[in-house]
Amino acid sequence: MSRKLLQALGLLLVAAYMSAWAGAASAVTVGQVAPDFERMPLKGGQPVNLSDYLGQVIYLDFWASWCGPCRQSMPLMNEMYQDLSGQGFLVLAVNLDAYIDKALKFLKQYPVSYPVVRDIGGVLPEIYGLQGMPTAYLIDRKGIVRYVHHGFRRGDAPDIREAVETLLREQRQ
Amino acid sequence: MRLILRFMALTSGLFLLGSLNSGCAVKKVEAWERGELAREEMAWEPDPQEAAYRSHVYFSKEASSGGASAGGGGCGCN
Amino acid sequence: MSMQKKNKPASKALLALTGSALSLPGISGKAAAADPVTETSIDYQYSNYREEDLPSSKHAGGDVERYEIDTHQLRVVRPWGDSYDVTVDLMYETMSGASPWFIMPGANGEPLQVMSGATIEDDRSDILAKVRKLYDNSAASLSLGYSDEDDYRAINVGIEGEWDLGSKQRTFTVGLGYSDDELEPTDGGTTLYPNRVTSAEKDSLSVYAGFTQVLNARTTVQSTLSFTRHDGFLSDPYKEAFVAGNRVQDNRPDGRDAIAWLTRLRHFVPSARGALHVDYRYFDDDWEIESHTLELGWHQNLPADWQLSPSVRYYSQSQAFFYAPYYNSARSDGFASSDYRLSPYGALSYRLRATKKIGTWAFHLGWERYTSEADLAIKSVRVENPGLVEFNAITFGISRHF
Repeated sequence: MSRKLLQALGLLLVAAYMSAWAGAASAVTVGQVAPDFERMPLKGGQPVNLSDYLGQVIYLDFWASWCGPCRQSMPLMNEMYQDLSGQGFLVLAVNLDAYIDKALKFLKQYPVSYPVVRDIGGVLPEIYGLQGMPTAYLIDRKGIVRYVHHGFRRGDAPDIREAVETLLREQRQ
Repeated sequence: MRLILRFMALTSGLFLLGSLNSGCAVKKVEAWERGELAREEMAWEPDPQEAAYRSHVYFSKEASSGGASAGGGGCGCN
Repeated sequence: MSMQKKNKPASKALLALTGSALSLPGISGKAAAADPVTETSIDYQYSNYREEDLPSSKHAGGDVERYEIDTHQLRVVRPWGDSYDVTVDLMYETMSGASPWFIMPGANGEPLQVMSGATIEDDRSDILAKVRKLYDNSAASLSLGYSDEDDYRAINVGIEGEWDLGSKQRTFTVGLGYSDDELEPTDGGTTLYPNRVTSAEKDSLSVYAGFTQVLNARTTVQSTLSFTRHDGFLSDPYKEAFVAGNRVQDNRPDGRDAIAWLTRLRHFVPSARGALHVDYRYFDDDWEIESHTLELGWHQNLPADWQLSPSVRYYSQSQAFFYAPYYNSARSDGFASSDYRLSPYGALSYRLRATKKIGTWAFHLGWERYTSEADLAIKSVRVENPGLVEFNAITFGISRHF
């Protein structure tokens, strides 16, 4: 009987190993220039380009209404935005909801004062190589990605703030 | 003993099933495409509390056990 | 309802102990995605369960009014610190009614059910606490449970681990659970029930493993296999069997090994805005009981945050090798049981549930009707147990998340 158990365990290990091997490399990593894009704001208006904000420190946040941690991250980032926008900090949120009414409903419950644009069809996530939801890219004043934040947990806000404040102190040129 | 052997055979079969990779009709779903999967009604137990109650009732009234049981004291159930 | 403890029928504890197999102690056989709990939620549910009266054609003595059980449940889930979450489940139930005692042959040899004499009231309290820690691509949880009743007490512990095997497409889960139960049947060893055991013990150990696979953006499938070993006093001290004209104590083997294989599917249909649930469980044990359970459910989203979910469940089991409605002569192994839960039969149940969400609140109302008959079993049954149960259950719940 123990031999059968070993066989089963062996098969299991092979299965696990083979499965874990399918990993994809992130398309945009630290040190690379953040790819520019143009998207429509969620609530309508003039199109927004990432390059519009060159010179500021940008927290590019990919989110969706169905992403649990976003209920925590967005209010906290909104607070951070209101504190540091005067120094040149911007949060640019990209909504990935397939159904716009869900995104709007989410924002009614968790309103934010920073710009929110919409990406349809998963184009931007593909370009940026998103691995999980939510994912955020911290971009410095020169447009270089300096930090990629995966997921969001309560204790993350202070760490992000520290990184933001460090980048704010850097000169643009 | 017969039962343990059957268990082992089923286990191996299950792991074999699990080891199917892209050979199977499995489509990779990106993180941002998981909106539908995140729906409450797509959970294994949309209401874990009600599921626990139902399991409790069935365990008490039938001979079978196992499956998606959210624990529960040894059967003080009937 | 009188409180005559003298004729106390099987309490809930014992009926579970005996006829039904143990639920996996402290573990869920489900492989949850290692998604973090981001908010606190509190759920309350009230359920009323009522069995149909025993039909007079099957009745030979005792009260015809069967069980009625009121259950209150409270559940609190909350994140704890950065990477933990805690779940506490409380259950309190009160029950009253008569239950099957023994079966005797009628005038034409047909089995007739004798019920316990008086209806009683009993209650049960249950608490289960679970702590889960989240890592980057995995999670581990520990659970502890305690169950208490007049004549019964159980402690259980469980651990579970889950691993993401690659971009959350496939998850592997493994778990272990142990339960230790003690019972002290009412009126054990008294002049009225001299052969009823005064105290007994049993324990259960179970292990399970399973995979969860995302098939596409709207479909997931999960398959879990479990093995359980029960050891100790597995008979029902409140039940008797009719053997060669005499009543003897219900007597079952002191060990039971079982496997259960559960496979389920969740599929969302965007055009209908609804989700399909399919669950199938195969069960087999060394008492020669084999069962199949198939459940189909549909969850329909409706405007204004309403949801309607109808479902149907089909169940079929074979009998335990030592079971008989009554015996003309004693078995050589000494086993005897006429408990309907060890008999061959099939069951069909229909359920309907409605849910309404208002802001951070949610309300639900559900109803289930369950019937069991020998005719519903997959394989033909020669003699139907007269104690097969039919019940209606209503549940009402309120939830809030913060």
